[in-house]
Amino acid sequence: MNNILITIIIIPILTAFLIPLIDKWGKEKRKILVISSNIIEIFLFARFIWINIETIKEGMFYLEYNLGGWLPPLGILIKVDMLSLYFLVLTNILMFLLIFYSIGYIGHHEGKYYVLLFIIWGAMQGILVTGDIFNFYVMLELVLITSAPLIAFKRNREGTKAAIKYMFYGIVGGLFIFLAIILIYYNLGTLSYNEISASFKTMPIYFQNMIAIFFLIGIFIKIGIFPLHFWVAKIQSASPSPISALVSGVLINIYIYDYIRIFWDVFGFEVLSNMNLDYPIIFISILSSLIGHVLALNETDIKKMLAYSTIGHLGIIIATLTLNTRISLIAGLIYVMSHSLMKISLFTTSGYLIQYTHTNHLEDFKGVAYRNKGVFIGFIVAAAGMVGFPPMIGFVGRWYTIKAFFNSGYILPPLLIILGSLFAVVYYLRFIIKGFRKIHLEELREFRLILSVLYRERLVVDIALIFVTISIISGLFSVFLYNPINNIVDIILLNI
Amino acid sequence: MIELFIEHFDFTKLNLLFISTGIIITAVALISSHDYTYEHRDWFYISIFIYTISFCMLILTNNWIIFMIGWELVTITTFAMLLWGGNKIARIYLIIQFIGSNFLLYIVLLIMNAGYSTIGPIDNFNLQLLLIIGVGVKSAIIGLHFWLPIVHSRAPSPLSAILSGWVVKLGFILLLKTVVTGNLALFYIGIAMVIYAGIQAILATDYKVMLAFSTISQLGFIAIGIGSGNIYAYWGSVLHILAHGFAKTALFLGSGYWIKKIKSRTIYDFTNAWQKDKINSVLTIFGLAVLAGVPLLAGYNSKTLIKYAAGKSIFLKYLFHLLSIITYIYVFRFLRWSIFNFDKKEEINKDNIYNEGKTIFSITLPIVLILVIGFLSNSIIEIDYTDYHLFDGLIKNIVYILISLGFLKMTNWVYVKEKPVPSMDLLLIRLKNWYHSFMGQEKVETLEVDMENQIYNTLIHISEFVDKILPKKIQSQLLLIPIVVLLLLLFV
Repeated sequence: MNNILITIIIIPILTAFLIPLIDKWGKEKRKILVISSNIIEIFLFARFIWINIETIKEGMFYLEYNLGGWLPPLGILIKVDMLSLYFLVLTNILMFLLIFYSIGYIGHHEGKYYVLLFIIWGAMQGILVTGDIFNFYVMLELVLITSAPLIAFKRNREGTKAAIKYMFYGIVGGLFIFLAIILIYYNLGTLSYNEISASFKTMPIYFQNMIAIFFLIGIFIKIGIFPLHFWVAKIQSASPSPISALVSGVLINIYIYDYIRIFWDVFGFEVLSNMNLDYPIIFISILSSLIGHVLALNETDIKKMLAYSTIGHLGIIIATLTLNTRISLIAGLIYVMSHSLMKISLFTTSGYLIQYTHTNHLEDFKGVAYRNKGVFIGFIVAAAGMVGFPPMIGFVGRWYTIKAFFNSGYILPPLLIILGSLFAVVYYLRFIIKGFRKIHLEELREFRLILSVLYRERLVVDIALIFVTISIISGLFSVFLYNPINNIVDIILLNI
Repeated sequence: MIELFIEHFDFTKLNLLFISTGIIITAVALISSHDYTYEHRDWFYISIFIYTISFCMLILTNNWIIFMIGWELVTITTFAMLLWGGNKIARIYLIIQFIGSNFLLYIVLLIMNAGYSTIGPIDNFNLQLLLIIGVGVKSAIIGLHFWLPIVHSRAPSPLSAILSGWVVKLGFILLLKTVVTGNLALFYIGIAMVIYAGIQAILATDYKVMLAFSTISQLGFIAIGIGSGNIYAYWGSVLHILAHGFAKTALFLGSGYWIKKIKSRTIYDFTNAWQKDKINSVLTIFGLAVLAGVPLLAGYNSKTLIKYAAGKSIFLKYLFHLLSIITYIYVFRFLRWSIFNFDKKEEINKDNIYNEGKTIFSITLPIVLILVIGFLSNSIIEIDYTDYHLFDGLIKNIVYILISLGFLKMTNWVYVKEKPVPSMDLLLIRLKNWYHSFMGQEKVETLEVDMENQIYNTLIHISEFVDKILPKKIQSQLLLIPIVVLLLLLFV
């Protein structure tokens, strides 16, 4: 029955390998393969949820599965609990829609693109379901290796430079994580999450500290927290919009999942609190958030602006999670969801809009509102949600975050969060006003020349609007999110 | 679901009274807005609909989160409606209100953290004060009122009516529920608001600016009533919220028609207004009479109750007389320069007079409702015994009128040179000159760039500076990683 779990990881990777083979047979058929395996994947995942719906409702869902019947020291352990499931649902829904968006945006004549995209999907699910730390590292590297070519997918100088920079940072971050894993194996002789968490406290204290710091640095580099954030903005402006959305909206979630999984489930939060590292982490993340928002104001490139805003919001998420109370974990998990939904909506809507401009520059954004009013209103709604206006889920995230800070006795960080969103109002408003500026007829003719870049305009518009709709609906029904997330937090806190 | 609904919303008599008042004001403004919105009317109706729902939500709820959602939705929808009056004013409004509502969000969560999980009486003086400052931006508490004359005077008249008649009251409705036992700071803030804004209204030369300042002044009366903690004054505030809401709506809607007819906003140009539009004149006089507190009208009842706040203090009693006189002064000054300014030389064009049904209806309905409230005051108020001292009040008001007329006669009816309509730029020039006078520098007459750009440029400069100090080369960026690792290892 739970074999479905294996198939949902295998199908994307299998599709990735089938695509080149199908190309030999006939390139027309590739389109069918991509769409059908996308639909089968989401269908199987829905079925997996449907089978286990009773335990999920109770919040007691837990699943362990030894691949091929091999036991942990040799075999691969698959372990899914409520936390993994939360991120799995988020990732799968977003990826399902993003692949359709890519079909409209990139077209189906680019075989390599889909190969890489499906491998990323498989690897992300691998990270979420794996039960041992080495597989986790392998999948992390797989994500890095496959996302770098996608960033350089425009095949220009800028894209290649950005991808190389991304690789540099990613490898260095991965190296730190690898060092930590080596230290763990050297001391404990095991790589499974369960065994590490059982015997982590038996290690010498300096080893514990070193492992924790190496992991922290590795994850911070991958997320892009302030002193290590330099790769974030550059890759966004160089990569095509679906990839920007993927990196900023989906991949980041995976790294946050790692942060929670490793530091709460595997190591135990005492590792950080014994070192008194939790206070500096909160400080750095809040500073990072403020700097992200300030730098976003300086950017005239819309995608760089959105990237810096990602830094701004991720700082808040990390700081909130590190408070380590029930309410803060709930706040963090809601904020993760709200951020990824809003950011993908922003990237997909703006990705459509900037198809009508020469560059991503602010000046070229002039008059795009008259291209497609629905999409532009979607952009405005998503921006308002990001800033934290009510009907959208961004408001809910911000509400719980500030509440969590007050609950832990912090007075100043909420003010800095509010200051950040003030900056956000200014930088979004700048683009919105520019979008409404009317353009002259002569300029309009010039714009029309570069219209044919989009492959399927209707599909792109629809998917972008679906993302916006999801973010509105999730905000309206956010009351129903509280209980499931509370169950997840129960499981996270039980492990301490 | 229904249980959840009943749990989080209070359908008390007072709440229902407030939302029906709000809905009537909105409906009246909607009728009048037909002459102002020619483009995208459907979007205007959508925003006004969401606005109505959100303020109902805000008033009825006892849950802080629903309250905050309603509060922010009111901000967005009023911003959206202001877009019909011009881009710039709407933008300024949005940013100022966003700062205000975020500050309120901060304070609401602080209050929730202190243990007040639902909207109800708050005992802590400091928390009360924070809440007062929190609602201050939307409700124009003195010091945070700077945007109100600008936005309310520049907005289209139906929107001024909505903003001045109802949106500013929402904060006070929250204070009515929370600051039940009174707050001395609010009491003195109220007195300061009445005096300061009253003087500004006396010196105003623009009709809508005068009305905007009069709004702040009348809000001061509400603040006095809530702040005193006296039960009579408290219900006086409730009554004043209703009376002033209707009166200001009628006055602002009327101002729109005056401006259309006279083609000027300056009160000195309102010559022969009586001959030009008699119905509007009568209604305007009625509206102003409510503000001034002429006996038998709702404004008199509310002000009489609010004056119970003085208690036994003789000083406060005389101060309250002064506050009433201030209102009378600006009312009479306006009447002298407008409706009763008979200039025989001017030829009145009779063809210009138009009286559409909706015009008359939209201004008349609030005035009629004020009369109704005036007669039914006792059924609104939930205290057993109320005495309005009608005869006493009549004599007092005659004295007020005589004093104010005497004052106006002495000062040549306060003829001030015509002033420009207030704007953010003028405010900034004043602020700059004030700063320059401290530093001993020369005064400036105009700004090189306007207010909005100035703030914007400052923010951009900050972000440019932050961008500049960060390393640009990839070598130095990568070097940061070992530094951070070392720092963390050393920290431990």
